[in-house]
Amino acid sequence: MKKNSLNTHVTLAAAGALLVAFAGSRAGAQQEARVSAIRDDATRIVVVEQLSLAKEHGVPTEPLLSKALEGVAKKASSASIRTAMDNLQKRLRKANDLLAPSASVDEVSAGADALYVGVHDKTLRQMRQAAPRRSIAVELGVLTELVARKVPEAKASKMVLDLMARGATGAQLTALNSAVQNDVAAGLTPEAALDRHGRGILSLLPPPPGVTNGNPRPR
Amino acid sequence: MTARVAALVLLAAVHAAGAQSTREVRVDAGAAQAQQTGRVARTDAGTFGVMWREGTPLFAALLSGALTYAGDSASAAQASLAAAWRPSNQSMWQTEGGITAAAFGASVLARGGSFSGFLRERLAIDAGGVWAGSAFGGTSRDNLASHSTAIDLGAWWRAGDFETSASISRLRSDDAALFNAAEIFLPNGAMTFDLTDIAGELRYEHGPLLLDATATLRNGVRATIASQSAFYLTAVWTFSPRYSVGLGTGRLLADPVRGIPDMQITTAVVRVALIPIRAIAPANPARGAAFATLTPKSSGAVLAVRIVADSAARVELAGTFSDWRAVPLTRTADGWEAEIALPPGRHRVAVRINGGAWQGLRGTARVRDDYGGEASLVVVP
Repeated sequence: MKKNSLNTHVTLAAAGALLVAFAGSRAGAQQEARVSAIRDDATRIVVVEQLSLAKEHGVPTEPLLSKALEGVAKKASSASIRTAMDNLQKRLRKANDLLAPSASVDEVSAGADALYVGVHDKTLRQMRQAAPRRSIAVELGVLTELVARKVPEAKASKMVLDLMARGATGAQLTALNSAVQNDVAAGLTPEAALDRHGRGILSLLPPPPGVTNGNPRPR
Repeated sequence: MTARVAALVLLAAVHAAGAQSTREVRVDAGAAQAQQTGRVARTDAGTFGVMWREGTPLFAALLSGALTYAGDSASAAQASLAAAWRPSNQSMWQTEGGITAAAFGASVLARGGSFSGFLRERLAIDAGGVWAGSAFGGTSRDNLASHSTAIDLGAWWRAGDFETSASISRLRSDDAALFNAAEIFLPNGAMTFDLTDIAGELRYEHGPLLLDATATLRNGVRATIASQSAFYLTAVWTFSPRYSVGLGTGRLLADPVRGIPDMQITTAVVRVALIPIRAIAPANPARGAAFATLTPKSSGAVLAVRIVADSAARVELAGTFSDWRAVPLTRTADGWEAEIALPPGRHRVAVRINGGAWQGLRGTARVRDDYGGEASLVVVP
């Protein structure tokens, strides 16, 4: 009994030390406060470990903390939270690599979400290549939503890449998303809904760079 | 075995009332090996059951039949009808009732039949609740009739993948043949067995796996001489909505209400859903479901959430916008609503009613949430 108690104290002390080391900035201090608010000792230790690991690997910590807090709100066990954070951490690292060399925190987070719903690695690379110097977080978010709505990944990826190539704005992309949702609710298949609205938006956009045959063809 | 089948059937009926409009038809086929208390011989038996269940948000009914055959030593046939109902869609009260009739033949406890019924009231509180119930039963063996009654009080609580419950039951019965076979006795002159059962159950359900452990302590009251304990384990693996297998092993104490003897039993069952559980034409598909609309603003957007519900005690929204702290919705004439200002970026949100499971919002993209539930994805340009 004494040994167990001692082990718990040692582990908590180690977690406390990690927490202090982690709180190096104002954002870090804010995260520390949020981590400290987690009542369950075992969960708090898991979260501190995972956040420290993320910092070591240079991946964003905010989505990891949010995932942990979601687990706490949903009364998940510390083991479940560890698994969820670990899986997310792997996706974040993968997204970081796929969106290199200029991935922002938002992009990496959005890329990890995209991978979670089944977007392929090559799609993330293609999206980065299509827009190497601006954020594609919204585009990744819209693609994630489309795939989550059961639009086939290949179809959704092609449509988003086409729209990116034609310079569609974030507002146009999210409007496309809403329109697909409305049509799906009305009974259309997700694929047909995307076809209908995606082509409508494409017809309003200028042709991609390098295409010289004037106005876009109506589809 | 019939006791176990009956218990599963009635349990299914109890849970059915909480579901949306559903229909399910399934068959169970399996084998069991049983050893009655005080007997050396083990009995092998085959079992077959059919179940039909129909449910709406306010009412659920379940009809089932089961056959158990163990060659010359024992056989049984059983039919059950159970129902559960609630006064309104979001009521915290639920009433359950059911009747069971059985006919059996056995070398140890002779031939006969039994009839039993139960009535129970549940009150849901947050992620758990309490119940109070009563049951009655009559058994006839070789024209000797006996009668039994039971009252029980219990509570249950759900946390993540776990659900636990505890109950205390008081039994009165004059079924001397059943209890004597179970090595429970009365002093000379006494006619009625009085017993108290204290039971605890722990259930774990994650993905296709369900594990259930039940422990029961039984003690005699007044003149009844008894001190027994039993432990029963169940494991179910669901391969698909159509196929699952279940294993169970342990001791089942004598059930005087249904006339089931005390036995050590091991069972294996294959379950095939002829009509897997599915939703059927809900009367009002909007009722109880959360809808969301996203309205862009000059910077960010407003997420409007609306739930059509009569009198849910509590409806809460949580998400990345609130650091996953639950935010209560505001009551309206016909439901609940909230408007949340979201800054540009990606957000995840979920809603729950009366402390139940977190679910995504219709009108948004919904994904599994890593914790066995659901969340909505919302992108604000």
